[in-house]
Amino acid sequence: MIRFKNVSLQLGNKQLLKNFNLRISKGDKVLLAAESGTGKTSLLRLILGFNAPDEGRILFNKKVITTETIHKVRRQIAYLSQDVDFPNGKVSEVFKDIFDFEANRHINFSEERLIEKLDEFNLAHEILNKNTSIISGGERQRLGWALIQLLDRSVLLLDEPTSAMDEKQKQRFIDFVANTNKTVICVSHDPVWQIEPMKTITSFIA
Amino acid sequence: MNAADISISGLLLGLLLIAPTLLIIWRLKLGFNQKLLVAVGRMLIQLGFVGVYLKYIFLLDNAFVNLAYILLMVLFAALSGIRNSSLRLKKLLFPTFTAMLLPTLFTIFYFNLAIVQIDHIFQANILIPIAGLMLGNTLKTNIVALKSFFNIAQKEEKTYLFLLANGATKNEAARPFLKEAIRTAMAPNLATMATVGLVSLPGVMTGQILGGSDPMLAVKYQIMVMIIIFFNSLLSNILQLLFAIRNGFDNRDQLNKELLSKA
Repeated sequence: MIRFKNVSLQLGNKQLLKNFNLRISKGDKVLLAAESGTGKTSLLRLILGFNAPDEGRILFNKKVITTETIHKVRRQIAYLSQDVDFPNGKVSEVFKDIFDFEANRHINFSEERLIEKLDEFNLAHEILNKNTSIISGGERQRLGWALIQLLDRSVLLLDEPTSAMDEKQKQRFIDFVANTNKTVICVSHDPVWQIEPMKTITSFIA
Repeated sequence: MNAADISISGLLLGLLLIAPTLLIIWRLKLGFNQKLLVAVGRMLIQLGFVGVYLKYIFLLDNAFVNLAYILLMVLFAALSGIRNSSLRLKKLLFPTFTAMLLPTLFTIFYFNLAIVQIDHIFQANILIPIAGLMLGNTLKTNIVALKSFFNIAQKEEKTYLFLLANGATKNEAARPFLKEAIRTAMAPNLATMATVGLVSLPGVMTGQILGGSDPMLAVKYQIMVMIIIFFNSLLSNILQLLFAIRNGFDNRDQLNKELLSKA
């Protein structure tokens, strides 16, 4: 599904990836648990086509990721950034806007479906009327999970997706990842993620 | 009725006011005497020229000459807009020119045909001053719009990438910035319109009243002018920012940071 072939990447004067090879099959769960500052987020950015590798190739569904294919690739991905960077605005409207993107319009989205997710994740309904800038980190992360579950993409890229949660909440999402048939790449330092069926990677420099 | 003429002696007496101005600046050590003299000199030369060539352009009143004059005004506005946005916008000269020209042409012809309903729509003494009014305002708002757009885009880059990674196109992900930049740029126009007449009389009205027009006629012109200025600036803003989105990001949809720093 996703393949890194001899990929090298340098940002500033820091060599993040060197001759890096990785083969991720459909449905695999990969945990990137290297030290901070070693290029975990950059690896996600490479898959999203935000950066190009200095050397090597990255394949998505057997096709090399290029400026021509990045848009098609992005349409198959849902992404949670570290801070879950929702735009400023009322939660309900932010969600409506995202599902109004051309690539997302085919998804059966409604406020009812969002509310079901809120109930599932123990979020009060009032959050719909709150501005994204005033909600807590933990609430943002749960809203982020609601978003990517509703987007229902085949590939999930998660950057420290449970860092602001308590153990009980974490477990819910770890279980979700363990049981989904989606392909998941998760960046996390948290040892609770290091369980079956996650394949843990700790170094990007061959 | 015509405006009272200002005679040569009157002009000289007016210019004489610069002497005490310089004296005050010198006594208070405000330190801008030299700048003031340069500014006054430039004003005399520039407006002197404008007076002379406008006189001939109005006399000639040739459609092509008038249009060419407008093109020149737009070019100067575009150049000045780019310089004042402190962006390295060599790439944006043509788009800026277009973003200012198209709405201005449309609005000015609408003004002449539908509002004032004159037969000769290229009539110099309406075309040129009205286009000048619109361009002046468009220039101001476009500078603010461009600056705030790139500021927000830089500050909120993570949000942009988050949306991009969850299905948005470049345009969709940048839309919140576009909206915010337009709101910021148009806010002063809204405020001006809402308070017009309370504090000072606006320029067009003042000019017409000094020129001997009936105040009601002056008011009618003022209202129409404010509406076309608002319309024109808004349209030009939107075009300008759409072009900025087109040119301001690379083929991986990443903000082109080279545009942001002045060389």
